[in-house]
Amino acid sequence: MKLNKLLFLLAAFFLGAKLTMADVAEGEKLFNANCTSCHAINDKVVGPALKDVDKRQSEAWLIKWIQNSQAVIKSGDEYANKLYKEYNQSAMTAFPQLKDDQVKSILAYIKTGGAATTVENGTPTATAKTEDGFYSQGMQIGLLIFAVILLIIIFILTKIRKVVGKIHDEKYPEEADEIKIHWKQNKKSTRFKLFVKHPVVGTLAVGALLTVVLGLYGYDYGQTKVGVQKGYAPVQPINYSHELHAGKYKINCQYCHSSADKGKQASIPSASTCMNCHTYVKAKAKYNGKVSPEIQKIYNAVGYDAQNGTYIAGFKQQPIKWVRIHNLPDHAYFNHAQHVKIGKVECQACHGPIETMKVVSQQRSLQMGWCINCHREAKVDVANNDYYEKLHKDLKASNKDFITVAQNGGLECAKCHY
Amino acid sequence: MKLNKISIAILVSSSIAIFASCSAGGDNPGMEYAPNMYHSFGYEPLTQEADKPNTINANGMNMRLPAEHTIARGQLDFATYNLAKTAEGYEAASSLKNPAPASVYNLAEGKRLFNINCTPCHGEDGQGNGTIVADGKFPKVPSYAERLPTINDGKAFYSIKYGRNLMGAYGTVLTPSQIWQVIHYINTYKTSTAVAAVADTTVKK
Repeated sequence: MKLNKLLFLLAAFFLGAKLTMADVAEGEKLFNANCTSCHAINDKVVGPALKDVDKRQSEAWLIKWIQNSQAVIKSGDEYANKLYKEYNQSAMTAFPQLKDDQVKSILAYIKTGGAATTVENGTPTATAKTEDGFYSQGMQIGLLIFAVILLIIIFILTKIRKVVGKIHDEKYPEEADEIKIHWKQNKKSTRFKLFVKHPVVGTLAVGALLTVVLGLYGYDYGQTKVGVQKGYAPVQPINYSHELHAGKYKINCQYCHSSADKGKQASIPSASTCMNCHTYVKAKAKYNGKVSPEIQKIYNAVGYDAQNGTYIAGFKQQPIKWVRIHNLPDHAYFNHAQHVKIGKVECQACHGPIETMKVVSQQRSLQMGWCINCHREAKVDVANNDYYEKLHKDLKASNKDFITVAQNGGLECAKCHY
Repeated sequence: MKLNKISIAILVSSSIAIFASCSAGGDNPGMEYAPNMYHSFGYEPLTQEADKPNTINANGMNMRLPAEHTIARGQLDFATYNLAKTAEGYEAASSLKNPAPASVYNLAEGKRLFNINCTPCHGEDGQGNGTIVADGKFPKVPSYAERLPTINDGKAFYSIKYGRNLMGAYGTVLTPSQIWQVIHYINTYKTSTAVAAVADTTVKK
């Protein structure tokens, strides 16, 4: 009898444990599908942080609130009205489709503290150790001491050499004299022979040599360096990494540079584009629970209060002064839309492997020869292009396979210079 | 003799320094030949010259917000100028109908714009598993198959234009007609969870 009871209790216990486990899993699923657009467990997002929500209000109240928050507010509930005011009267979406049991399982999941997600978002990982540079500090001091020792050794050796030389000269004075005379004679004869015999020819020859060498160097220099900003990699006001955004997260270039397919400029994104994600993404895990200082710069520019998740009223917004890298001279016309939308040229064709760059540098020279070269080689994509319908027809009629940009007038001066 | 050597050393090092300062690298854009041909004399709308702040606009910027309540050329049929950015506005948006026909062109454009602006969170398959969600940087986004039946095209338009909950506003990036094209495309996820079989190319208007 006793044994039976015990077994029954044990079974009930395991069943209960299994049930709560299932509840939590079900709750997590529901939480992710319905709640995360506004709520996080440990952080205030659009709505309040949900940690310990079961301690603030009773379960019955919470169920009523979640299923229809507006009804609770209208019923004159004090706590509900206070909350409604605190959040600028933005009402929580009603979830009449969630049954009581489902709400309970969501609450059960919240009680666990979102065990699965907090690991990723909350605690800083061990890899975030501070590294000052290539060498550690101890290594740097060691290298410095080593360099000083080497200098001392060199100093001592030169002293020894001098002393030994002196002793040698004193012992064999004739030998020393001979060497001295030999040096003196040779010096004169080899160096100035040409000028003494043929002063005009010598000067001309040396002059011509200098002109050729310096001229070639100067020509090459003027061609490849003056007015060419290849390699320009300025420090930007925010340490933004294209490697992270475009490389790791594969965010399309045009998400931020949204006018690349619309007009002449690819455009620098406005801060509101950053804020689409960075109202939520604060990289706190990397900075011991504080907002990343780089992301904070966006908040400082637009006047966003990260603590309360609101924009500061009456804040005087400031532009973020990004430094332009690719500066095409004003006397050359270039249109992004023409190349991106009609020509279907990849961004990387001109800007290099942007998605691998932590700091963007200019990869191409942007010189005229570079433009022309591409126009000579690139074939116009006429087949799937509404813009070139007539051209496609003409091509087909004349039995040609392709047409290059140059053949389509891509080398005419006035296309770019007017 | 010694003086000679020193002067040669100075000449060489200074010429190296001069030449090196001309080539670009790091913070240095390099030497510019004829800067008055490089920099636009007038104010260019989307170009900002650091050394030439705009004396008319705020913050020295050339760029300005369009005047309030104006509608861009060609957008008159698509813009919804009565839509207020309030909770009531969201409810009122229900009455909006998609003015753009569900043509092949509109669907293809919608797909292209969706793959640029929406996929980082919503994912290419519309399941809400975009790259930043999958990495745990952004909270889970509801899948279209679940969420779309609970709203309508008008509310979707409001959400894209002004943003909703954690989603940002895309009214500054997409024109009204483009938002309607995107709505045509995301509606294809209502019925299937696979990437919709929509043509990739934007042919024909």
